[in-house]
Amino acid sequence: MQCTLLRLFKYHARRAFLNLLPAEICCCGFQFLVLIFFLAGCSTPMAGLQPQYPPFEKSTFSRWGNFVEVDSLQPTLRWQPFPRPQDRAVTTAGMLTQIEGITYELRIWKTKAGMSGDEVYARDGIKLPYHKLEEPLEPSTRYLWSVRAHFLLDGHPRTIEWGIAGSLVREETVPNPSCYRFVTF
Amino acid sequence: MSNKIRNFFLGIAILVFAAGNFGLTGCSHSPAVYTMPPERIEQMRSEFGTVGVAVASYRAKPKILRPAKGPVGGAGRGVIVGASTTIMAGAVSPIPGGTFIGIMLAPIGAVVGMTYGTATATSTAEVEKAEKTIDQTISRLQAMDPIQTLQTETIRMGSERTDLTFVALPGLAPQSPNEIVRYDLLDTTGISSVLELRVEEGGLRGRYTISPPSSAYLKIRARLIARKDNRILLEDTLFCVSEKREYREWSENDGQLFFDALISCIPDLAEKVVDDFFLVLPTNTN
Repeated sequence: MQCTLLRLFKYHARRAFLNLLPAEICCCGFQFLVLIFFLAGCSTPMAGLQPQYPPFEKSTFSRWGNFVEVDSLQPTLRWQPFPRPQDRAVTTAGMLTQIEGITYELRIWKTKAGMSGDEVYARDGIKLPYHKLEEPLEPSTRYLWSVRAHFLLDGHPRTIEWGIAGSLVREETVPNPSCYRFVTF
Repeated sequence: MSNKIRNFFLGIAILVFAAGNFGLTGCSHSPAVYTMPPERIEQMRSEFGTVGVAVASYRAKPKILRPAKGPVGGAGRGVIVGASTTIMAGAVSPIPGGTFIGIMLAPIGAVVGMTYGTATATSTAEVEKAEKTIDQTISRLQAMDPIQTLQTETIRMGSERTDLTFVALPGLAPQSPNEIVRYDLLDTTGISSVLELRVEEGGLRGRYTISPPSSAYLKIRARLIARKDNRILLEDTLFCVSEKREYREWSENDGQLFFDALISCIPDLAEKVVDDFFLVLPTNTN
């Protein structure tokens, strides 16, 4: 009786496995492509102003960036100036000519694991796309940072979204894991 | 018979693959404002006028991810975590038949998980003590009327950062999760649009493991509604999420860290709503 049941189980298991195999191969192919695409960083999405220093460095096995070491406890952070070429592409020519009074807002948060953090530095009204920190940061500490542009559009105050990269977490407040990352030495 | 078995395994394989790939590619979504054509949203904003802010008065049910209680709870959770991890590991491995192998090995994963869960679970007394503190912290938070604070903060930030006028709409917001308010039928003279906020969830969330680290979080639903015809202009679900900590850490010092994390979420969410709905000009994602 046991032997029959075992034979029956083996038979059905083999049938199920053989029938499953083509679907699995197909799924595996798709999954393999997703993995390669993901790990190779072919599609590292970025939103908002991109960082120039410290740069965004894609982590191989994570959805988020690496913590890039900065050269000073009072680093000069740099980012793309606004408006960028792609902003010209999405807005009508008339709209961009209505933009004036561009300033930048910078925020830095101290973090442990990079998922969120406590604000340690915030400046707004920055006129140029870089800023040397006016206070030293803590040594050997991880930070998240982000920047955005403020401006007047046809006289109305407007902003662009916070600069983020990796897997874009846009539905969460900042700081979130998509913010740019650096670590002090 | 064989067709049923095949369909069963095929169903599981597709589900697990979908979950695996979904996990890899991420499950976050973009609020609508980030993907709208800039001209369209600016056209919409030109009609906003005076904004009435209404915050739903019902209390969101707290959702708390707790650790397993004692060896028995640890064993039970270990079975689930061990079996599901084995299946997932098989599914995400790029080996043909991986899901099938994962399913076949799931009982072994369950036994390993059960043993690990029994050995590592936090004691029942410790979890219950922490639970009590967390529950007291939630009561303390609710006593502070976070809903009123959210309304006040949203009006303050909206008035400071935009050139629009924000006013409170007391008593006009939904009283229950399923209630839909017809603002066009209410006496809201002088109001062009209504910003309706609902605190939907709050608590501790994380991955379901034996003693999971968790993040304090708040989830709100924001809708901007044209008063004249009750048309929804913009709507989104927004989150505020903290760093991850152990359940024990959240309960230390009378749950102060948990309390502070949720309280600090209120101005952050008010800022996010004001930014996304009234200030952000959508630009390209690179």
